Order: sequence, then C-alpha cells, then structure tokens
Amino acid sequence: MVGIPNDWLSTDLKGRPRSHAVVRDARETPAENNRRRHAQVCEINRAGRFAGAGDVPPPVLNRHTAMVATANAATGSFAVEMLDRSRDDAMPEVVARRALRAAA
Amino acid sequence: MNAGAGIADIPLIDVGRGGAAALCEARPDAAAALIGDALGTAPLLRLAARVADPLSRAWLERHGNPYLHEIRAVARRLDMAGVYFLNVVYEWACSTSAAPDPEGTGMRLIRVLDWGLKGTGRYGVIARHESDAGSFFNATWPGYAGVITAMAPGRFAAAINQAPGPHESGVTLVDEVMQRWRMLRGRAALPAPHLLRRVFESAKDYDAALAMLMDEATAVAVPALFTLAGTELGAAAVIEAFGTGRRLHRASDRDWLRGRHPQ
Repeated sequence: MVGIPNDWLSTDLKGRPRSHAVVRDARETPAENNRRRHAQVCEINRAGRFAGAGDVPPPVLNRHTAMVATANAATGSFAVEMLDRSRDDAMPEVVARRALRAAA
Repeated sequence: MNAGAGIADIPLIDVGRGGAAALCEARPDAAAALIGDALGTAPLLRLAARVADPLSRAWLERHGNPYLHEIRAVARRLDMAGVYFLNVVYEWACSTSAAPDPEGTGMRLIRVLDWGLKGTGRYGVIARHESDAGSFFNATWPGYAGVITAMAPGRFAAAINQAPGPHESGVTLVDEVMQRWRMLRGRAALPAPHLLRRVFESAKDYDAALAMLMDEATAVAVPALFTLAGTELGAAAVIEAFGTGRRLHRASDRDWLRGRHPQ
C-alpha cells in the first residue's frame, strides 16, 4: 500500500501542505486536512470493494472534487467518474462516468 | 447511451498519436467552453490569463517543450486566450493510493482529483493514445497536453498529486510568486504532467516507468508527487520530485509508514 495527499512523505522535505486547489477551508489547517485525506484514501483502498465517488468520504471528497478514478493495469480496467456542482456552495455530484476494460 | 439517470457517458476519444491537438479537433466546442468556464471561476482570472498566456508560451518555447506544437495547434484552433496558461497551470489537490486489488489480480490505483476551476467535471473525456510503448487511456480535458491520471493496459497506471507549496518568506502569495519567477528563469525543465505523458509514451513496463520518473537528469518545473502502480502484486510507489531531486517510497518499503503521516 502507498498513499499520498498533497504533502511530502519524506519528513525532511520542506513546504506548505496544500488543502484545496483554490479556496482553503478555514476549519482545519492544510496539514490536518492532508493527514485526514492520506488516512482516508489509504483506508478506502484497504477496505476492499470500491464503487466510485459514492464510497469516498469527506474530506477526500470535497467541494472541489472533479474526478474519481480507479485503474488496474494488470486487468486493463479503468473506471472514471467526472463530478460537478450545481452551486458554488454545493458538494459535487457525478455528472458523467465510464468504465472500460482493455486488453494489453 | 446513458450511463444512469441524469449521468452521461464520458466520451472515449481515439487520438492516435495526435495528442492534445487531435483531442481538441474532436471536441472543439467543449474545449472552448471549458476555457470560458474555467477562466470565469474568479473575477480577475480572464485578465490574468491574458498576461500569463504569452509568458507561458515563451517559457514553453525557451525550454523546448516536446508538446508545444500540440498546444500551439490548440491555440490556433480555438483562437482564445488561456490555452498556454491552462496547459501549464498547476493548481489541483488530490488524494491517491495504490494497493493490491481485492479481486485478486494486480494493483488498484484509486485517485480523487480536486480542482477549483469550473467545468472540469462537465467537459472531461477519456483519450485513447497510441505510442511506441503501447496504448494508454488518459482521463483528461480537450486541449490539455499533459497526463495527470492514466492507465496503460499490461504496463502500469499512474497519477500526479500537487506537492506542497514553497514556504520561505512565510507569506503565501510572495512564496508562490517567487516559485513561479524561479520557474520562468530556471534551467530546462518539464511540467510534471508532460513528464508523465512521456513516461506513458516510452516506458514498456513498471520498472522502466519508475526509472524514468526517478531520473535526476530531468528537472520538473515545480515539485510534484507521482503515484505509480504496476501489474505485479506489491509493484507500487510514490515518487517525490523537486527540480532534479527525487525521493522514492515503495509499497514494499515500510519506512514511509513511519513518515509524516503514519498509517
């Protein structure tokens, strides 16, 4: 298992963790946001069945989420969901999806 | 065909070896609408794009960017400001993991991408590329030349996360401007999404992809985090890239579990 949010894994690398792409959430620090997303994105992969955006908890899923994808190169499977929000203050919803399986 | 109530099918577009130019040619209206919506996200973004577009183009030219001809073709086809700027903009947050697939075969990459610009979900497509190393499927947008989430059947899957921002003066805006200034003035470098596309076009397998991403002869324009997942159980890694510097965290290497975010 490997997982990554928007922070270094190496403890000696410097930088300011990023929480969101453009707008930052004032309720938690970017470092806290990264810790939670890192733990959750590892957990949903560890948990087994994953059916897409509906299985993604916040804050991994957040107002800025635009895509959820699952890929397995061994089986050639690639499932992608595109998300959009109807209002600026709304959570995004899946607006388009495709799942494909391709031979090597 | 509709994929579900109110949910459309993501277009699957064969671009051959034509990259961003072919993708834009297949969906010119979507490409133009995406740029219009994206630049409408913030009041000054349209103005900023007019200033940043020639700077971005000059930077790509000065660095001999391998995909500049495609971006030029997109700019000519759409004839609107923002094409060069949006091809080098690097403002997304993401969460990614790779683990053994519970269905028993290979490694499963899960990737959630956050992007504050409007329209990024509505206009998304999957492009099927052909290359010397084989085909690959790229979840992307019309007119965009880079690769940020893709899967090459029988070879590997990979995604890019944005790395932490600079933290030097303590003032975010100053630090971000200084980073861009250094990028504009710096030595030959590739945007991370262009490096990842080159990897998908050239690497025959996971080991070759890992070697390319770890190659310190290639500088990335701004720091980036790559997640790579191969076809064999345990074949997964996170590569931290900053300039020509690299750090590797393999799934088989337990050290990263004791790192900044213990799991």
